[in-house]
Amino acid sequence: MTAYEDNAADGTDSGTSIQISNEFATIRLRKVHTRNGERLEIVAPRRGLRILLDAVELESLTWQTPETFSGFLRASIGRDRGEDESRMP
Amino acid sequence: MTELNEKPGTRVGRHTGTVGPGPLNGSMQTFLSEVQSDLVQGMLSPRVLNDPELHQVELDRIFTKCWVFVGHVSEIPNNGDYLLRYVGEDQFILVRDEQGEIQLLFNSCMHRGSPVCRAEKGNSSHFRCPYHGWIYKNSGDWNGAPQRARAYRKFDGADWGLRKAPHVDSYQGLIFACLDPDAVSLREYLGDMCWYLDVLLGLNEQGMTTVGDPHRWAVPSNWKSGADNFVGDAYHVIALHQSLEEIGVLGGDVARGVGSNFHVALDGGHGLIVTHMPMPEPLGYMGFPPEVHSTFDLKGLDADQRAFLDADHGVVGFTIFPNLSFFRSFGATEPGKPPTTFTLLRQWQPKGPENFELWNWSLEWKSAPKEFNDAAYRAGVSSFGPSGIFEQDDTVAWAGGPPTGRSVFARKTMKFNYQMGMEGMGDYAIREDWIGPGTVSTTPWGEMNQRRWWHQWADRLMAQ
Repeated sequence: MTAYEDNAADGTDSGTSIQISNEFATIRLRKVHTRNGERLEIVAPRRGLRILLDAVELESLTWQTPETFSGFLRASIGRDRGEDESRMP
Repeated sequence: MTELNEKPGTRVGRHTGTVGPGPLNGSMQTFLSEVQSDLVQGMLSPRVLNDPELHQVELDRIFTKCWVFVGHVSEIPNNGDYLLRYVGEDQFILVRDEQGEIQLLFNSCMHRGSPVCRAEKGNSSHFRCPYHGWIYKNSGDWNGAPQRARAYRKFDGADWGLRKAPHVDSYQGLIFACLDPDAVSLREYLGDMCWYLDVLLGLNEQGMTTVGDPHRWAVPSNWKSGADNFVGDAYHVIALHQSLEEIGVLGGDVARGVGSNFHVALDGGHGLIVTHMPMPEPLGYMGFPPEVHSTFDLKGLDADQRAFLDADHGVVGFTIFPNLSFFRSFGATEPGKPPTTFTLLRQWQPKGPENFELWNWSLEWKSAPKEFNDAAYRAGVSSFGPSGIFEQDDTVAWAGGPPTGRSVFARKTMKFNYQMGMEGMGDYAIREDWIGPGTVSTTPWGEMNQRRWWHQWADRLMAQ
C-alpha cells in the first residue's frame, strides 16, 4: 500500500479502468504493464491510497474467507499506525 | 485519574433482549374495552383512525410483537445485497449476509445512533458508520473501529453489534421479521394463511419475483384504513371504483363479478376476499392465459388446494395482520385492450397516526413469457400505484379517517358502522361446505373479516 500518485511511474496504463462503488467506498481498478509483466492497480481516490497486486497475490484472494477481509477492516478506515489489524481479535 | 470515578473497562451486559410493552394507562384500557364491546355490536370509534397515544401503543404492542413483512427473497438474491426496510416506524437494513443468511439489522450505529446505511439499497460485506467509522459485518457483528488499540483496549466487540430482529423467516418468498424474542414461529403466526399463500404464490418451483423496486408514496390517512380495505372490503368496488367502468378500462363485469366474491376469515386477524368466477378471454385456468398456466406445476399442492383452483377460485385480495396486503385481478393496459392478470403486494407503513406510506410491489412469474409479464406489470401500475386509477379512488376515500378521528365532535357523537353481514342484517351467512381452511361467507355483503381484523387489533393492544 503506498500513497497514491496519479502519475504513477512504475507501470504503464493499459488504458481501461473500471470503478467499483457502494455507499461506503469507491475504488478504481486498472491493469498496468511493467517492463516485463503486468499487475492490477487498485486505487482508493478519496483516501489517496493505492496498491499494485500481481497474479499470484490476486489468485490468493480467491481462497480467502469473508473473515480475512473483516480482519483487513478492523481499523475501518485505514491502517492504524504500528498495528497489524488482521491479527487483532 | 479517572473521570467520574468509574472503573475503566467495566463490562456491560449484552443488550440483546427487548423490553416488553409498557403498561396501558387507565383511560386507554377503558377506551380499548369499549372498542371490544362496540365491535360485538358492529361499531367502532373514529378515534382509532387518529390518536397519537393510541398510535404509540400500536408501535409498542403490534409492530414489536407481530411478524411484519419486510421484503421478498428476490429483492436480495446475492450475499451482501441489502435494502432499507421498516418495522412500524423503525428503519432496518434487510441484508443477505456473507453466509447467505437473511438478517434484519436496526440501522443505527451502537456508538451514537447514526444511520450506518444511507443508501436505500446496495451490496456490501461491511457497513461502516460515517460518523466515527465504527464498522460492522453484514451479519450485524461489530467488526472494528479506527484507533481501536488506543481507544477501545478493553472493549468486547461481541456486545456491540447492531441490534437485530431476533426472528427472520420466509414463506413462499415473503420475508417477515418479528422483534419479539418470545414469538411463535412464522408458520404458526401465518396459520391457515399458508394454505392460501401456496395456491397464490407456490404454483411452480420458480415462483414469483419482484419487478424492480416497490413504488412508495405518502398517503394522508391512517395505515389501518388500507389493511381494513384489503382484508375484506369488496363492497366499495361498486361505488368507488365505478370510475374504471366509466373510462372503459373494465366492463360492467366488475360490478357483477363482485357478486361472486365471498370472504374467508382466518385466525390471527388475517382475511381474504375469494373469487369464484371464470375469467374473461384470453384468461383461463387460475386466471392466467395458457402460455402462463402451462408453466405451472401443482405437485406441491394437496388435493384440496388443487380442487380450489380447479373450481375457478382465486383470491382478489388479502391482509396478513397487521399491514401486508395482496391484490390479484385482471385489467387492461389501456381501454379496448384484452385484460391481463397482475399480482401486487402492498404494505401500509405507519408514519404517525395521520399518514402512512404505501409500498407497492409488482410480482411476476419467473416462468412466464416476457410479453405477458410486461403487460401484467403495466396493467398493475395502471391500477395501483402513485398514478393508478384504483389508488386515486381509494386514497381519497381513506383521507377522511384522520380528520374524523381527531374531531372532538366525532369522538363524542359518532361510531363507524361495521354491522354489514351481522345476524339478521342481510343474506350473508357462513358456508359449511368449504374445501379450504377458515370461516367462509356466502356473499361479499358483510364485514366479518373487517370486524375480526379489528378484534385482533384491540386484543393485541389489550394483551398483558
